[in-house]
Amino acid sequence: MLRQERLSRLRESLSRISVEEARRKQKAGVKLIDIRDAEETAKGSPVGAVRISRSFLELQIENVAPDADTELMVLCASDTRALFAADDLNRLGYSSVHWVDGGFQAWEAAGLPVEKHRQLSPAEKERYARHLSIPEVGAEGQALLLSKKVALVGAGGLGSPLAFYLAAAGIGTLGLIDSDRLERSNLQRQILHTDDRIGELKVSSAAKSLQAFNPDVALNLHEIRLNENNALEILADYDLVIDGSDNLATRYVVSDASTLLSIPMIYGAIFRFEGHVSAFWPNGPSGGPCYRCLFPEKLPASLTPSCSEVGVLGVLPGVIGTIMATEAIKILLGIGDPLIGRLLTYNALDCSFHDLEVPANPHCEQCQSNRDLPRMRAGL
Amino acid sequence: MQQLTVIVPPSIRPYVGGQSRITVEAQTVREALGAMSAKSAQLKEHLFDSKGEINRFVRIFVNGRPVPLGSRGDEAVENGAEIAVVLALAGG
Repeated sequence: MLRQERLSRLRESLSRISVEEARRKQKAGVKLIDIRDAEETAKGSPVGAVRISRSFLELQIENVAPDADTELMVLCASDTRALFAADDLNRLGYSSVHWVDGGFQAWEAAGLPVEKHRQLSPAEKERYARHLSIPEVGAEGQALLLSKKVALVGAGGLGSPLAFYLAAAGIGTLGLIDSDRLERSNLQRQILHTDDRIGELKVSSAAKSLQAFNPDVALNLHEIRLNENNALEILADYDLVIDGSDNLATRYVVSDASTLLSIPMIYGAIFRFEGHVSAFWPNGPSGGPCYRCLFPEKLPASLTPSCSEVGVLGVLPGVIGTIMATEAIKILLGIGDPLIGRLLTYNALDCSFHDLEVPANPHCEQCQSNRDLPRMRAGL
Repeated sequence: MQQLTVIVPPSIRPYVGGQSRITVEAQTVREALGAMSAKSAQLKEHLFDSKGEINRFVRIFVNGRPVPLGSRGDEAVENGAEIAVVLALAGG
């Protein structure tokens, strides 16, 4: 038979690798490609494997292996499809391709680690179709976003675009933390709320808007002001926290809590026509500063007027909040170059951005301490 | 004398005539901050502590690179450099 003859030739000519060896190489950073169909991988896939269906392999492989000399390992259910696929990758120009002998069946039989991935429902595939078309997100990234929990401190100016865009992106759970009630003067910029809800709690008003916008997003409403006594308990359940608060004390509390919980923090702040954005994750994979490394000492009250005192251009939190939402999504997906170790400043009047380098402060007592875990401090 | 541009944060702009960028003649960051606050004792108090050290809530960046915390700002700065003075913003 033609198929058998070809397979025999491929078995002899292509580089064979056992599942144990594949796992060792994978730990050393070599990419393992699971080429089975989505229905098969839904039941389990080698942990950390890149899942690209055989049908899309040649079309999508360069997204994960842009260089032809990247070492690749190909796995299917047993070995037939992996042999054909490895041959095709060689023809495409990849010089170091191995087929995994025995495939996923052997992987499972050897007791090697397996992970299950959430599958998107037909309605989710339709809603997030424009994400699914982006290689950097795709079905896998979207499923990841749907599994994530993000806490949002403040449901006001920054919180409005943040909440809308995170809900739109399909973040699985949004925690809204705010104790304020809606005032008429908020509506010049806080687009999450509506005129008929003046006097309502902002978290309640936000929940109505977000449920109408994307009913699939689960909402946790925390009608409370975050402080050093409650922050750890409230934020412990989340994968990432976003600081859209309106005062410096809360910003220090969010930073300390996120450092202690080892979760990333997205930071943004505004003043009239200007804004800041950064991301802090000192104990994340790339290290970097915390908010206290940037501002180790609290600004005196005389230099810290609030939006209610000095005013703010209504659209400004839209600009800053959408950059913050973008950074949050990038970090959750592990894509791009996030604003970790960088402070982005924006001036709307001359439409200028500055990208400033912010290293960790080696003497920071909060995030660089070698002592036992630092404590939560009052927001000062 | 070489010229430097200082980007002024909004909360201290009232001390420099409301300008967001000013040009000063200076060789170092310290001289630039001194020139900027020459006409305002109040601004000087915001920028420097009683020992003449740069306050730790004032962050300085030269062409996007940070002046380390605790520095007196005596390092020479090249002609035409852009010095960004950054203070925390509270609003959200």
